[in-house]
Amino acid sequence: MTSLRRRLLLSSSIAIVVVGLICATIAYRQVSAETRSLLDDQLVQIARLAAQTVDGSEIQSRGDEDIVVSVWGADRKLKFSTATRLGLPLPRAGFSEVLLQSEPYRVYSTLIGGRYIAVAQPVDIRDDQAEAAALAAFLPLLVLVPVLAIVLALVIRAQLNPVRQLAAQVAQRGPFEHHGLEASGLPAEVIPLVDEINRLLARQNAAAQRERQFVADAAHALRTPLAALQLQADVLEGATSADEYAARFTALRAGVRRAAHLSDQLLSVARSQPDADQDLVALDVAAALGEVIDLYQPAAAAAAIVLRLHPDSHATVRADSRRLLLILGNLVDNALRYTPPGGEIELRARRAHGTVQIEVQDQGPGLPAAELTRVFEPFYRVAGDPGGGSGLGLATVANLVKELGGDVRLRNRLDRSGLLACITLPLIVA
Amino acid sequence: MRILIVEDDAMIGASLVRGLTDEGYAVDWVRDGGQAEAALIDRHHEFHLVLLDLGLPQRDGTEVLRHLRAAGDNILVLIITARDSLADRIEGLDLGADDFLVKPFELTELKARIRALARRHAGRIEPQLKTAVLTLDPAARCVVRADRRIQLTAREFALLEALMQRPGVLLSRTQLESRIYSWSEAVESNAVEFLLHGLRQKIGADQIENVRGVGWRIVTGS
Repeated sequence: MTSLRRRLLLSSSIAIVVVGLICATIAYRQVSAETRSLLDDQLVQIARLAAQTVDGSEIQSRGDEDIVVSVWGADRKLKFSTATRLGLPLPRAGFSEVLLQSEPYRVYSTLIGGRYIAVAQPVDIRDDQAEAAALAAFLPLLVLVPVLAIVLALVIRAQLNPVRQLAAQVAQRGPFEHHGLEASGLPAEVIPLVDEINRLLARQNAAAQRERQFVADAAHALRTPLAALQLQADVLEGATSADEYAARFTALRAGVRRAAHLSDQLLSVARSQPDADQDLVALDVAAALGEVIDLYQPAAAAAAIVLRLHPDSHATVRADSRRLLLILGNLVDNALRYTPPGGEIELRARRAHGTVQIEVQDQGPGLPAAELTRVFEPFYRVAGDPGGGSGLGLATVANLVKELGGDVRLRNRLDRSGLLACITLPLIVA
Repeated sequence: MRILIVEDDAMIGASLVRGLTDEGYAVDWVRDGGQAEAALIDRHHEFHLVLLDLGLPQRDGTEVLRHLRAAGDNILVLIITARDSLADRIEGLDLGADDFLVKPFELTELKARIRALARRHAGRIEPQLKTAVLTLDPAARCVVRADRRIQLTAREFALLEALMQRPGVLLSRTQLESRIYSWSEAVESNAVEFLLHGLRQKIGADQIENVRGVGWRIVTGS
């Protein structure tokens, strides 16, 4: 893990040190060169002064002990020298360097008023002065670098404070808090991140809310069948004859079947959350319809209802067999609930406008127009519904059909002789 | 005691009818709020207690209860519902329900609550019904005379209970019929006399007094 603060601090510190060193070096050189040129000017001034003196005493009284001045007459005979032991040779005009008693000197020579004048200064002293001046310019810069780094660290820390507060805000959140993160006072660069996090939180909250609602609804939906089971079991012991006991036991079995059916439906609703791992393949609709009819044949026979597959039902859809069978099974199960004994349920598939329409048509009482869409909501039950459904079958169908990229509708047959469930799924042209 | 069950779930309703009939109660069952109101208004005086489901088709159970209490009916109401939130329970009780039972529940608890309600309704503190000679225990469903336990059928027990709940009060044949038979039962015209005959043989003929043409009452003194 890398700390943004540490990285900012490190990179800017390196920049400061490099820039500081470059500045210091430039300053060092500049000041050093300027000092040397100042010292040269000084030599020139002394030379001019020496031109006006007779014996150089004025020059000696200046106290520039390290400076050697020699003056020659026009006859090239030495008139005087401030350092007698140092015999300056008669030099060339201008600046030059000479060795006097094996010590390097910088010498300025000139001819003024018929006199040859030479002014010399030891190079060592010049270097010392130049270095001292340059260091005086260089050192403050070097001291400023760490000061700047510390100031920068504090500034970065202060600027990143909102980010740290944001982190603290996130850390303090409970898993079920609904409000988003506070974006005010945050730098503009961070706000998009906070916005995205808030959007994600909102989506997760909504998903968690749906899940909690589902669990609550499911628990509630289980209450009725469980209450029935409890009572059916309780009344068993009150039976006074074998026949009565058998009748009560049959009722208990029906109660168990109902509870099991409900839990199946709950599972299929819970499972029918979108999952991308299901592979959709080309499936023959007629075969699937045949399979569903086989599955529900015993129940239909018990209720004296005929399940009929329309002969011309060949089409291929993109689906997976688990989903397709669940969809068709739920629709047939519904149709069986509402078709009176002796009735008929017809299943058919047909192609229409590049889609496949699968229809399940019962001979039940149909539905009031206002209920035709509401019945797809989970746990919704039509008031006074005698079918004893859980309110989950059609919700399951709607979920599954949507996952397959299709659409499901209910409509009453025009002559009010039953309900028609119509699924539209994408067609695969074989 | 005659009970009206208002319950839309076929399995729960059927089991309640069975369980309470076993107990000797006269039980009638309707499946929606409209039928419940009709039954309670038309046959107002026949029922002693209503088992009221709240989530009913047509007319919600709370509506039924509100109408009932607004009409000044003081019949015992025991709500049986899958709605278990505190708000639901408080609303139900505040609307005038006498008790509240959340599904799923055990039959034994329902029966105990019905007995408790009946007892309170009659202004009794003791769970047992007593005369100078007989003791009837509604919970244990037994009748004791002089430390001897008397075996009664469920109907006989219900009949004796009806008489002992109103000590000294004359009850007509119709009143007794309505307390021990539900609508669905075809009652022979002399069924009550027949039951009373059997009952007298078991508990002692002197314990039930007959006022010809008016009815019967339990003898309270010795």
